[in-house]
Amino acid sequence: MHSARELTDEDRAIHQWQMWVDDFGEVGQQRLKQATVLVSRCGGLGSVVAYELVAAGVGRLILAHEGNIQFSDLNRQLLMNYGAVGQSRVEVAKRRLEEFKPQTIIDAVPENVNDRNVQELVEQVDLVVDCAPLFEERFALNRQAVKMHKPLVECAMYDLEAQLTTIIPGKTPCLNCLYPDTPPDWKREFPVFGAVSGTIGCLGAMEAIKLIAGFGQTLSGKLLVCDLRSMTFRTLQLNKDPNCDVCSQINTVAG
Amino acid sequence: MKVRVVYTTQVKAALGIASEEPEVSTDCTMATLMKELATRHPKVFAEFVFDGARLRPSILLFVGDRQTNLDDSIKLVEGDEVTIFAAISGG
Repeated sequence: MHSARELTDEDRAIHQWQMWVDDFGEVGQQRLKQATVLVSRCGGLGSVVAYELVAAGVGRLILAHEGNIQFSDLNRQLLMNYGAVGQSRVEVAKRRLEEFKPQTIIDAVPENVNDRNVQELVEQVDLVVDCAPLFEERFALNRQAVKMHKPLVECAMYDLEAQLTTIIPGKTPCLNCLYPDTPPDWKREFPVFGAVSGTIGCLGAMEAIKLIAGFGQTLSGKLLVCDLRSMTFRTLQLNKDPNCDVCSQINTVAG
Repeated sequence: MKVRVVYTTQVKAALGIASEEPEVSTDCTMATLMKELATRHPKVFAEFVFDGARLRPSILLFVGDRQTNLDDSIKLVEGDEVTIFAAISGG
């Protein structure tokens, strides 16, 4: 949640070049420093999201990811490293981010998001970035984010394709409006290049930065669909489901 | 007339094509187009797109940049681009 973290002269020196962005400036930088963001999983996508949010100066990150680093993570999970294979992913990610920017508060949670921990995780943050490989985790985050009126950036990829949307509870379709059920054919392991997960991770991080700082146009209610095989980028308009089990009853002025 | 159909993610991978341009009748709706495509690609559509007669809830349909559904009565026109989008969750 918002705290009293104030910009220091060192913060201004580190972020000077992005503070030259006219509609961002010192006010935007201050908002980033005050913000707390949950990144669900710090794999191929979430690693890059977390890296970019720390680079931009977000004050506090909560990283949720269980398990230890495997060799097969190293084509895309940029916060991990060869020497740390076998160690906790989230602890290694925290160390890497703290080396990069010790000013950032990093909370490492060695668990994936689930129905038991989702409330405690989401209530601590201003915004959620969802990078989980399982629909069950995404649905749990969506339900909680909608319930607590927290914006949710949804990033996903498969093969050379990727998608991105922003959910503003009460205003836009939620994840359940789009996909009310888990695809029966989805598998946890999927084809992936690090450059694809990294691309959509950067775009997701930029979406989070704009939402926190309050500038630019976001993908609220729109779906960015990218195909890096053909280098095609399209933005599609999404519909709310008026009968959605998750979001149809919430207050439409919130969010 | 011809419309352009764009496939994404697992549907594209299963079909082995990214798009096609079927010839359809001038009174073609979303429902009739999807029925024709299911006839062309029975195995993939039965596995990924339809659950019996029902569109799988993990499939989104678009005409141009507008989301639509199987029951949309609006007639397609020459050159429309229809996207059959399959949900993904890779992280």
